[in-house]
Amino acid sequence: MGGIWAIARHTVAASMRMKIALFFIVLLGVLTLGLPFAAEGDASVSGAVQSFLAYSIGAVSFLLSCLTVFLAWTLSSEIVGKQILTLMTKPLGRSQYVLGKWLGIIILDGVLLLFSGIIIYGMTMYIASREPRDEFDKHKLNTQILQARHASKFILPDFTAVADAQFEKNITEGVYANIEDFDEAKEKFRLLDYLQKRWRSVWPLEMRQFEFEDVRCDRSSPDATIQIRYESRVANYPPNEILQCQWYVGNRQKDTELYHFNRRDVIDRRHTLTVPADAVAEDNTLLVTFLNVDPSVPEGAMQHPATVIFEGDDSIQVLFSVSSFWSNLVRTLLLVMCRLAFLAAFAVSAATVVSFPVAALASLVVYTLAAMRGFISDSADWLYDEGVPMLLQTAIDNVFAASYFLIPDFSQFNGIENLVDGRNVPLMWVLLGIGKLVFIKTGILLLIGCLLFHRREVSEVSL
Amino acid sequence: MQNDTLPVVQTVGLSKVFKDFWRRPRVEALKSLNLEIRPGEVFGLLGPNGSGKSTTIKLLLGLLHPTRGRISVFGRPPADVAIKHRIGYLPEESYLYQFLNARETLDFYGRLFRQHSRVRNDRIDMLLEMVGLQHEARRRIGEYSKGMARRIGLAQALINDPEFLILDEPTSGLDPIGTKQIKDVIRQLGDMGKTILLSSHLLADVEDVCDRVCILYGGQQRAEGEIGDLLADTEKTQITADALSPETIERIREVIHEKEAKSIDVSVPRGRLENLFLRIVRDAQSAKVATSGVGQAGAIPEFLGAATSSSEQIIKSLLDASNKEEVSKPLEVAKPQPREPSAAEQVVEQLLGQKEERPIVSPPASTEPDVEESPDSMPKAIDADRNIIDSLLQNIDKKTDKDK
Repeated sequence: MGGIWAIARHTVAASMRMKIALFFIVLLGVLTLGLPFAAEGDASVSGAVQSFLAYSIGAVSFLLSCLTVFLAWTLSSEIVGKQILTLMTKPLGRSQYVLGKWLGIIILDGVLLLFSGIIIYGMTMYIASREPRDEFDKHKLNTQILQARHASKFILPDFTAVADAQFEKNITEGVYANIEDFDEAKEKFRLLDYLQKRWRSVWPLEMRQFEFEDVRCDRSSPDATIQIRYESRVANYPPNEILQCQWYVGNRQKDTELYHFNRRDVIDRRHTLTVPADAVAEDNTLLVTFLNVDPSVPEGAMQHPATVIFEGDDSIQVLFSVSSFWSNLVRTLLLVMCRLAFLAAFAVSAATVVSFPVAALASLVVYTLAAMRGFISDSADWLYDEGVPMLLQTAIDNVFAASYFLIPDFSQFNGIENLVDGRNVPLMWVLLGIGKLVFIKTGILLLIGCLLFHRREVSEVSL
Repeated sequence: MQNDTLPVVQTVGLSKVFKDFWRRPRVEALKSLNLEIRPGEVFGLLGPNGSGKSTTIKLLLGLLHPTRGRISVFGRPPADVAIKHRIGYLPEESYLYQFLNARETLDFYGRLFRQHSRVRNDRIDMLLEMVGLQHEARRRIGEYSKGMARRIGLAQALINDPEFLILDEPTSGLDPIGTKQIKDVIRQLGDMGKTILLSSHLLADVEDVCDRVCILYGGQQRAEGEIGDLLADTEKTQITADALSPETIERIREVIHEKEAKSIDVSVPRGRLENLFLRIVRDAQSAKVATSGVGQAGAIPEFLGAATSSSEQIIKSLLDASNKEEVSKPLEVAKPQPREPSAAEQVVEQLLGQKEERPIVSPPASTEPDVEESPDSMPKAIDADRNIIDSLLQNIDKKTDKDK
């Protein structure tokens, strides 16, 4: 460990003395201190805070990724500058050297991330202390942004039994009698899918109840609130593109308060209802009822026949505070750190076998692939269209599988979106980040780097 | 500690072929080298540029992998990290970190040996003093001259008090003072029992300090042996004396002609430029003339094995050391043996009879007289004279027997 530590210290010292770290410190300082004055958002304080958080953490993450790749240069430069000849004659294992380099980069990243995190927190509080635009702005800032809220999804009813019964009925009635190559499983799946879609679609004058479990919010305080966030799709738009509907939150059967909302919502936008926490039952369940009934239409009159569709599982969420903004920020930065650890391992391992420009280029490619893995996967969907040769599908599938083995999906370890949205960055993400990204993938990369460097002749002559 | 019977380095059929990008053999840098370096010896690796000296060293250090053959260092493969605790290495160029200063450089390398901070700091102080850079310890290495960097390179090689020191072209880039200092250090480390492998194409460096040499050419071993054996010229005798009058010279001619029936060449010897240069520098240092370069070198640090009393004696100053060295060296090569007076002895007795022109005789390998004699070297010089004369007598006896 002594050798690893000595190399790590030396790497940090090298980056400081060669002004690399200093340059990035100045850049990070200017960026995090200057952004609050540049990021205005939608002219509200809450918008400014959200813009600042999104841009500052994104920029810090990107700059530290560049620094990480750049610091791998210290390894290449020691090989090119031949300092490695002296180093490798000391009681220093080659693995210790590689690990020391990685540790040095990580330490520097960690210190700079901490430095940036403190400034980001300070500047967030500074922006939040500005005069809010209105009461809504103030309320949004305090309850929806400077919070770490857990988002619960509703429970989709199980329609399997209904689908099976419908299937049996269709058989009995001979509905499928004339169908060639009849596939029972496919038909059952179709029926189930239909029933689920039908349930998610609320026709005019219909009602739908969404049940949430495990809503462990603080109900002790009379000021405690929860948020119901929904985003629906509307078939057959009203002429003014405003959907008028009603919501009930609470469950009288479980002896909770029941809150009623008449809403006029702009279509295709996300909306939030703030509800006192006493709508949640003792068993931590919450019942949310949606009525596709226009409250402004007199009884007996016809309302506009718009169908409201809650398509995704997160189309309605219940949000409640579980942690503080500060701890949420820390977890977000820890996830950034996990990504940097992986990138550092790749850059260092690459630098053990190829020259710095090649190692840097490869590292940036991997960083981009990891950041865009979801997009890249989606872009390969055409492969599964009919008419694409099976051989091509298999070949590309295998290429993807091989690359996924090492290249992680950074979107799984990205807490910025949650932080900006005031949603909790789960500790589980951080633990997964440490486990999957740091221990497994980073570990594998460092192992490969150590093995390659062990085999390398550090004094090799190029002929 | 090392086993004295075990060679420090042993290579058997060691070959190295450098290959190109496509792994095609391009240059055979070393061909079947069989080498053995014994504990405590100063071993010279000689050869012109490209002869395979540095390749050999890099193979010994595990920086290159052999294409064929076997290497053991302290009985272990060179890649073994454990043996690195016992090795010090000065590469052909002092590849140091330009952004660190001398103290930080030595501190960094000391940390790799897991030395306690107190021990490390003490050693750094002693080594900086030894290489004469104690006053420049806070300057960045990037601002150093090549010679100064070379000295720090040597200091880093000694930070762990190595049993086996590998020096690749240690005097390259050094001025005559530096060269002399490095050679003195090598010699003294050798006296302390360190095993030293010295690679150089500067023949004088190797001749001055090495016990045994191996000469490489084109990656092949051309000669190997004790330096005395390789250089001895038994066909000639050299007599060196203080200035003699023409009459005395004529008498010597007559005596030698009478006893040996041989003629002699008489000439006035020239001093060496090195000695003149060193004397000027010593005078400047005595007068404390300011310089931004290297200061006066200090003694070998105690941690390297020098006892306190001897370290005071060793390298008091560069020139003191060089003066003593040149006079006292013959003491070690010749010891008086009691025996019957021979014809040769009679010749010498006649020579010694010239009290006002007492001759000093040295074997051919000896250097010319010092530029300046120090008072405390005089008694040794008289002893040396007698020993050298005895040695000469033996040579003359041998020659006489051979002639008979």
